[in-house]
Amino acid sequence: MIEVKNLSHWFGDKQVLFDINVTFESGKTNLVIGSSGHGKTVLMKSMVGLIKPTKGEVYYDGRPFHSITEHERKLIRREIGMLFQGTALFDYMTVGENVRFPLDMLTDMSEKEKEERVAYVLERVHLPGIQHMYPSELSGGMRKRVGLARAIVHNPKYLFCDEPNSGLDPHTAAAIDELIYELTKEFGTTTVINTHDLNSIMAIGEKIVFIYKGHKWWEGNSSTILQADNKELQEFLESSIIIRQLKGR
Amino acid sequence: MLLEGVFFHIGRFFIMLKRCFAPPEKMSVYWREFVRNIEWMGIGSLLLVVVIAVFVGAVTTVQSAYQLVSSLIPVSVIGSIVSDSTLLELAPTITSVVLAGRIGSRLASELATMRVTEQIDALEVMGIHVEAFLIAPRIVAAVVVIPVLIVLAAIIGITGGMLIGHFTDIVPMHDFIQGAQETFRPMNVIICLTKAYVFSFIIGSVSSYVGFYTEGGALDVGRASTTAVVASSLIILVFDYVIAEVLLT
Repeated sequence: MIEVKNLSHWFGDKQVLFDINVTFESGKTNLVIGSSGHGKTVLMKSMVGLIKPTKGEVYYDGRPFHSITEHERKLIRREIGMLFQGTALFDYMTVGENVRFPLDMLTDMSEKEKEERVAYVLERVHLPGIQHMYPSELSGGMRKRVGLARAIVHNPKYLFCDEPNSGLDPHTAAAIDELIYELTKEFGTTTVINTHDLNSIMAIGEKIVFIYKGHKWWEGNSSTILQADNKELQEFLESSIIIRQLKGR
Repeated sequence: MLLEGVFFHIGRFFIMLKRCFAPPEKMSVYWREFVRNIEWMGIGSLLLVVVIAVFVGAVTTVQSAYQLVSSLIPVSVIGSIVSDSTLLELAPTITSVVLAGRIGSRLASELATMRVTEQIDALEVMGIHVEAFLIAPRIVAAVVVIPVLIVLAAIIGITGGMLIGHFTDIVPMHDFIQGAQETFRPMNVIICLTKAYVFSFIIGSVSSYVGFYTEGGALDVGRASTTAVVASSLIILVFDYVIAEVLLT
């Protein structure tokens, strides 16, 4: 479980996050939604420590993340896996080397165990036997899945996905969503997903937090979102023709 | 304002160097990174260094002969001029400035690309000592490889000068060698090596610094590459003077 308490952040004079309080539950796909530029990425970066928030704290299963030493923070970070928007795969490494990198760095597994684990996670993301290929040889969807394989290879307790299906065709995007959902259930991770993809919201939104102009504006799930009495949220949702048709407008 | 900027960069540069000393998570992975850098820096630059050294030696011989207008001066002096100037200045400085262009620009663009494509963020999220993993092996590789290339450039430069002098009837080979031996001082080798190590450290560290702290997009990667070459070359020239002043006067 991840708890965000009173989190605020300023860039110079401009406040971009306002007193965010939210709990992300274990074994669930927690979605942070909202339009671009409203603070989703800043919130996620604050949670994983890429940005130090001006105020507030993030707790990983009760353990504070920002008000501790750098060494203690690194230990928590080793329980985190993250899929980046642009995948952030290391260009000069093969797929196999990319995926096994966290194992090389963070575990004492034998070579054989690492090879087996890499083969297993690549199979889990439906990309068996591509260890020898380089990221530049892969399609966008394949890169996302390799990024996901790298994020889960060391069995993280917390999985963060920043815009996992941006730039992908609807079919591949749905496949990625499904995969993240399956992995969350299989490994019991606390999964936090930043997205503004309405298909994802309806498909895997077990918990949904709507961020609007840096504020937590609404909280619920995919079965309550369409009926939510929230003007800004409905405006955001109605940017999709499908949602408009679903709501009979 | 300018002074403030200079102090900011100097301060951040030394903080970066301090962080390079963080204990490695896995020595074997760091070693792999070091070897990879040794390969592209050394083997990739070898031909360039050889060609430049041959021509620098040849041009120094021809120009020295051109300046010796008096028949009272023995031609063996050309051997002395070529060997001394190659050891003291031409091999370490010209080779370093050229390598700042080849190695420095690649170091900077590689790290800048990693920064703008979130690869460095990915390492941070994994809890890895980023500076120690990315920068330390690059600086150490530069300090190991570049002095070897400079020594090679000195040997080839002097040999090239001697051969060109011989085959163009400027100075017979034995006169060249006699002149070189007469004025040879071990101190010249020490100065050459001192410059080699200082300049290689400058190329490795300054270029890494510029690349590592790049912000923005693809355009900024190009800028980082140019900045790294210009900054490294200027700092090399400043230290060239400082070393000459300290060791020669």
